[in-house]
Amino acid sequence: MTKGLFLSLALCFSSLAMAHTAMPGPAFYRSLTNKIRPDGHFRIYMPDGRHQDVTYHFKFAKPIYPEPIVTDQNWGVGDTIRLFWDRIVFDDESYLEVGGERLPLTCVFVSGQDNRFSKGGMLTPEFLIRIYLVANDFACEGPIRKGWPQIGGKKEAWDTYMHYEVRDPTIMLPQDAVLRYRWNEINAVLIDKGN
Amino acid sequence: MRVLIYLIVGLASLTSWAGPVWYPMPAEAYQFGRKYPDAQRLLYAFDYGHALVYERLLHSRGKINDAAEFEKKILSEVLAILKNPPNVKVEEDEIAPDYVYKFPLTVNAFDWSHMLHQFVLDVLATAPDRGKVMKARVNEIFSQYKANHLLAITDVCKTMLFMDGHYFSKAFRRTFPSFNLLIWSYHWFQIRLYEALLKPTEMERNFAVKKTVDDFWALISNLPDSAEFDMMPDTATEAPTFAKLFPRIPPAFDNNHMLHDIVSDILVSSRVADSDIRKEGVRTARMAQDPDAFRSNICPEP
Repeated sequence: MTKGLFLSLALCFSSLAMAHTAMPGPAFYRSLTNKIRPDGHFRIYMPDGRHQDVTYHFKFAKPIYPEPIVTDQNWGVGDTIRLFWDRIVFDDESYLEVGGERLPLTCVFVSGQDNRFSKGGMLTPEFLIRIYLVANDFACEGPIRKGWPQIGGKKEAWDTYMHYEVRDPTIMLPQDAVLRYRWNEINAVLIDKGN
Repeated sequence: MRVLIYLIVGLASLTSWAGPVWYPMPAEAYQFGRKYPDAQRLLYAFDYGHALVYERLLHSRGKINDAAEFEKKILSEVLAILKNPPNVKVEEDEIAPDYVYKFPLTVNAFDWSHMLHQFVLDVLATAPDRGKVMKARVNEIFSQYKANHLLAITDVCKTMLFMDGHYFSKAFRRTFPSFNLLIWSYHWFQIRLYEALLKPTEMERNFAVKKTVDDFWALISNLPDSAEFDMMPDTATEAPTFAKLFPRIPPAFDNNHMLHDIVSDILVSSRVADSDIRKEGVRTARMAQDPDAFRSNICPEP
């Protein structure tokens, strides 16, 4: 009984605290981008056992946006979904290695969602950060081509990238990873071998 | 029916493209081709020919036993394309998927620079005057080009060492002298068009463009003897009026042309290990972008 009351009070206080949390500025979202794991090792499992390993390493160079772009979607009182986007170019030493082939990893594109100010359910993650580690595009223009569909042609710009989602910025764990290699897409799983 | 086929082919070629986008495109974009279809189709054929050669060289690395025979065969294929050029821009990744994949920064920078080439021609072909309006418009497009710091090739003059001062330099022209002269003839044609389009009257311009097309055919009529280039043609020499009006653009074009030769050398030279091709591609493209790399204090005089 006492335990239940305590839990209810704690939840109440945490909700109130959340309701009064000031919405952060763009610098906060840039700090999330900066926390993306600079190294990753993934495995693409194959039924015949000939699994394929994919690794990446990057070092940030220069942001394309001076600060992340932030916008709010208001669904009602106290129900706001905050969206943010960021784009940073990588240093030339950054790479994505697929099947022994080392490709230049050129930039990161982040498309994120801050759910802390929305009325999501208990299972809704506070953050949903979609990360594209893009290879071969030194202009970092994507995922949709500028001017599409008016300019015709392909909708998407990037032929090769590692994409994953992060739902918890404390650990920045890559989840639901997908490798796109020369337009072909395949699911990959993070392998944490330690250092 | 024929128009419909061209339209379908045109749309199909657009669907493959995922390079940098100049958006919004200038109002004059691709108008040069409406006025001068023969010259425009040749430019499309050059793109095709360049990409085809790069792809073949990449796939044939270390396997060419008879360079003269290889050159003869590929020259005949490219000449067939030049004689029957495409009506639309053919995207490089359709013709040369492995080359495009090996040289991502170079291809990005070429794409961006080729758009500048094209749009300058489009403005020159359509501007109502040869004075203020035209000049302002070309400079506006050049500013847009330069604003893309991630892809723009520098407009600062470089010494010839940029092209010829690497451990792999001159491999292409030594191995395939006729093909090298064909490529230099492409460059000559592109820059001579700028000069032709600066003639004061439309009639003179039309005549000059036609003469440039005819001269190009004469240049490549009997390679290697027909094209007497000792060195890669430069913009200030071949297009002096253009160079005086737009002094910053010629170095940007010349640096682009030098980078083309560098790519050919990387692909041909046995001194470049297969595993180093991608790295050398990025390294040399960065040099093309860097105003301080191989910087020359003296630019070619118009």
